Amino acid sequence: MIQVRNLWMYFGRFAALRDVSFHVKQGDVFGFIGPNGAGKTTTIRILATLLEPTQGRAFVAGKCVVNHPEAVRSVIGYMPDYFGVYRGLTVREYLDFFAGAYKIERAKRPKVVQNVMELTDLVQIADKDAATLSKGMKQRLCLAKTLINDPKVLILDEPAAGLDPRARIELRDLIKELARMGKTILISSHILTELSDMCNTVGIIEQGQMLVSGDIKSIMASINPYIKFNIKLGGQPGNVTAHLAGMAGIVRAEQTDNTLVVEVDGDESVVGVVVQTLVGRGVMVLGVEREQRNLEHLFMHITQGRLA
Amino acid sequence: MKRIAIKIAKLLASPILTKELRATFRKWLFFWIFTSTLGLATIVILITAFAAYASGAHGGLSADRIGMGIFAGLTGTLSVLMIILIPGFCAAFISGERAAQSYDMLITSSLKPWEIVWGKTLTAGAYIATFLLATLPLAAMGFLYGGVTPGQILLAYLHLLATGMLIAVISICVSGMFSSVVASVIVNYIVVIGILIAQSLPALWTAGYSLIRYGPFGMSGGGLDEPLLVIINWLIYAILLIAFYIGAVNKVKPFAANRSTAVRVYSMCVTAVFLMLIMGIGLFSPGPTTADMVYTLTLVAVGGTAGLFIPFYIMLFPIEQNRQSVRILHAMYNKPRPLRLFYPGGRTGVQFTIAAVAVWYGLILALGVFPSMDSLSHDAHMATVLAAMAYAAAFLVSYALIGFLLSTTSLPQWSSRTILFAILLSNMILPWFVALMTSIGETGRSVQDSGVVYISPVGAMGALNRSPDSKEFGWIAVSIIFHVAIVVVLGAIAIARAAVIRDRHMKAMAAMPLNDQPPVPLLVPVAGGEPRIPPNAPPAGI
Repeated sequence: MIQVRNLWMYFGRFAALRDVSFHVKQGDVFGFIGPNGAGKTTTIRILATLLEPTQGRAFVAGKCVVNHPEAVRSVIGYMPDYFGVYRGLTVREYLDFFAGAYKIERAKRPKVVQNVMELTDLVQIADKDAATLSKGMKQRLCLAKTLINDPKVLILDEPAAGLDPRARIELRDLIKELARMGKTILISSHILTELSDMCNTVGIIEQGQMLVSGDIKSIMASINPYIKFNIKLGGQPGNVTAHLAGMAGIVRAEQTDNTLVVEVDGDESVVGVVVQTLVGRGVMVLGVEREQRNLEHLFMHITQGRLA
Repeated sequence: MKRIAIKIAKLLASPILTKELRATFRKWLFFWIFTSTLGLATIVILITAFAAYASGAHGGLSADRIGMGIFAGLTGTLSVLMIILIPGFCAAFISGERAAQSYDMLITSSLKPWEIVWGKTLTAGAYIATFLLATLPLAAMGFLYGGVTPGQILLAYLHLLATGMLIAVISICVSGMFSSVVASVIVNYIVVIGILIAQSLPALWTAGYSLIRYGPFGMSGGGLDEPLLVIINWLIYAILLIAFYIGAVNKVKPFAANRSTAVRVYSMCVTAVFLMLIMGIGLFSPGPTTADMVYTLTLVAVGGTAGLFIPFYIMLFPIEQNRQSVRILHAMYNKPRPLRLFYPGGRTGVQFTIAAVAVWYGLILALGVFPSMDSLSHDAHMATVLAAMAYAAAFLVSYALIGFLLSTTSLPQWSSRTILFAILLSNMILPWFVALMTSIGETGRSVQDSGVVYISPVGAMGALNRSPDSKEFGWIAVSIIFHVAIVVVLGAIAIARAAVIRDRHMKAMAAMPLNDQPPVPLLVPVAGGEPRIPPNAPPAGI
């Protein structure tokens, strides 16, 4: 649904994007991750037909963003990272305006507006001045605006920035709901916990270069195919790594005081054998914890903290 | 017919108009400005009426003249109020969207850039129409004394509406250039007042035929009884309105690509209209002989080439080229063609430019010079006209090249444009200044006696219009050679400069800072097959 091929973007002599390529399949929720200044917003603005790439091509729903910007605009819903609402318009009027801007027939507009307000839970404040809304409500309103033309692709640039925890969770649930409705979503953020819940694919960009993109599980597996366990030991365990020497499936074993870190190649049964061995040698095992691999680990592993 | 009606209805049903009317007309600020402006207009009209009445009571004026005086006072007051109000009102139309960060959402909707500008123009039209309708009762005061017909009032109001719309479109165009509302307001007023002053400039070129009334605001308060004047004024309005409308649409477009096409096409259209317009003035206005008038105005048309092309065409070069030159440079990596850099549109751009210039000069020759050459009453000859054309062509191309050269630097767009304007102004003013300095203290010597003024476009065109003597011709030839030399030198610099930029880009790409600390190689193949490893990155696995 979204294809980006060898994208370069220069601002003067500064290269904001360097040969960026990725793709997002239909129905995917693609998390676009990167530190500030990495090139996320530049890429998103190119996809939203707001910037012309210096080189390379980008397609949304098979249409080139440079050659057919109008066709692209009709299938996307774009939510910018910063946006303003018009003073003097109510929420309903604001959405009605964008319904008109998306060429929705006048007769159908009230129903469309009502539907998106219901979906985004804005009905209660439909007649409130849009400029007086809270940040969270404005985000909702902007998302409602983004949905007004029933787009196939949603391009959301930092939608949760500046929101309080409740508003963030509500927004996350809303995006999950949209994903369930079959929308293809590209969402950028540097708050990784909120992305890890809803994305099935990610792209990590740093200093204008796409470091990795694709399915989260595949990426995790390609970075580190081994499972890591933290085994907590009781009493005076002494050096227990010697007991595990030569054991099949153990890739690495490190002990720090009462904690034993074991990396295994295979499934969880290997760690069962480890525990059994330790107990058999008289070592007290207090607990076993599997290290969770999430987007934060992935991000920290791949990026090097360079600034663009 | 029904289709046309539906299309017109659709055009008028702009969502932008609805939004702007809702947002603007609800504001208290709008109410207060509107009311106080009307109040001010009423006070001025009442003072005018009492003054006219007092003058009439002492036998100074007939009742008809008093009525006409009140009416002229009203139209004059409304013109001034519109010049004050409309730029301020329209200055935020696009810049306000940018400042409020709603522009991106607007531009990514299904509205095309021309529809956005159209919606804003309709809003301005609604505002102006409301304002003018509210002042109609004041216009009725003219009927108290007679001397004013309903037809005159209708014509005057139509003219005021047209004037207001022109100011509005100029303001929207200027608004599109800025992200700051304050900057937009200031520049808007400068531009509108500048046009007000510039309308008197054609008088400099003409020998005794003042065109001062043939301008955007030329006939406010009078001249409505001259049909030719009305037609010419409205034609000039139409030319300027379309020019600024295209300018506004170009400013709203997010991409630089294809921005110039409309400008190029328009340049050709405006060429034809402008030429027909001045021919019309020549044929219908009183003067020594029609042929002389046509000759004089032909030279004005040649001068107008530079005058029209520079703001609408050449001044757009730095803006476009700054964005496109990098793209062209990238294209050059595969296929180096330095001459392509002269025109951002590549071959198409060259074709458009040649076509525009050919149409322009073809029309001048066909309509202006050849039919009237035999009946000229003074000693002007073909060489003079050809010299004028050569001058204008050299002038245009040299500025196009200066614009290009500036665009190849890393200067911001606004700096490039300011420098280009500064060079243009120096070319216009400096020779006159030098001539003035050399003539000070020399009794009986005028600035024209120093041939250096003919290097200036105004001086050269002025001399050509007077059928120059051999000495003046010599100076004009020097000026043409000077401009041709600029073309040759700048052309050479531009090509060399292009090569330097290309090399610099290649070096920059080869020594990207990322290579100091290579990133993690791509782990997952990207769309389209093979994973792409950054240049000079170490082998995968490190």
